[in-house]
Amino acid sequence: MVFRLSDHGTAFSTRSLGAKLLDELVEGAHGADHVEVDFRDVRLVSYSFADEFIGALMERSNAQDLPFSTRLANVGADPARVIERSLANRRLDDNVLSQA
Amino acid sequence: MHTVHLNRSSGGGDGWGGELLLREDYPDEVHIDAAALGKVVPLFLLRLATFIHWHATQGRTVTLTWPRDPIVGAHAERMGLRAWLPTDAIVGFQMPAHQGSDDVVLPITQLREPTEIDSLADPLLNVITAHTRAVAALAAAFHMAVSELCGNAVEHGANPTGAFIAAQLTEGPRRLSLAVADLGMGIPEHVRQQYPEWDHDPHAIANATQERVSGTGRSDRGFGFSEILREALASAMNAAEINIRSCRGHLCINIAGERVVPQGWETAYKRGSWISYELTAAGP
Repeated sequence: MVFRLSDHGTAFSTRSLGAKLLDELVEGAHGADHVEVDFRDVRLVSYSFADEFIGALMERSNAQDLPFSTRLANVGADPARVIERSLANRRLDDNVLSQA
Repeated sequence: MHTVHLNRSSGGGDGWGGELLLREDYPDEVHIDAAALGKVVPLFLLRLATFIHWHATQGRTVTLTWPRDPIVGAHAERMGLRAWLPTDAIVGFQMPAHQGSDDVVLPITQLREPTEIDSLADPLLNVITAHTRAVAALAAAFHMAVSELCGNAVEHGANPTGAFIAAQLTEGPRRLSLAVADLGMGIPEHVRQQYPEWDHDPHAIANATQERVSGTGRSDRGFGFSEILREALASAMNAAEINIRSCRGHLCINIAGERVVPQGWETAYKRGSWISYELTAAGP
């Protein structure tokens, strides 16, 4: 399954939106073995959004709390810089970014 | 009637000129004489809007004499000041001959919900990136500041009035100026929920800007201010300055090159939190 973040905008700000999109992703992935989060055309993310969406997603994935594997794709330099810091603060590997 | 007299310099500088006090013992009528204003910066505009809105919600009749200087008046109009008062509450307003909007990034906007912050993101980014290359290079730093400061104001500064934001672009040098304000509990009181020993407000504010310091008690929170500083350092800015005023503290963080220099001091009490952030572009 591909979750296209740009379907929801190209700049993202709040924790509550991050939490909402994470819920949508998990619900929409029902039955999928693998989910790709596509960042194509996403220009900027705030730290709060990145942490509540990608940070929380990767933490659950690492804890094997999700029935699917996850990969990030087409992450631009500006969002990547912020996501890396969220993953580091949560003490998670950022190898999901290097796969993009 | 209580009259607030604003002079030529009240609205410029650091935006903290003029006595715009949120006093519950004011009479039923309050008048703001803004005729002499020589300049208005975003923080001052937020103070004006908050003053008008707060006293109106307290049941007072608020009136305003519009700035006499046509340039100041036109700018205040473009920044949306007139929308905060009924038409018949404004004296001396004249529609500007030349509208011009190149300096307005975001007029005075009230925020109550996180969804309203998210709805600003794409339009604001479009405004910034439509400018010169030097200004567009500040987009990431500006977006981070708007997101994190407004998120803090709406969540941690929750109050019946909501939060306010305004932003403008000035010349000579090219500078993005942002102001965010709320009438909530204030940053020192917020962090004292977890750190009650921080009873010196400037010290509490300075600590609140450090990583992992949050009044929420959550280990995954407390990165907002540090991320704003990180993005400023990563951007192509020439210099940046953030001023945080809350309760009895004022913290000024100056960023030039790779140097981050904080200075804090005690001030007279201010209800809520008032933040101004300026990014100076490296080039025209």
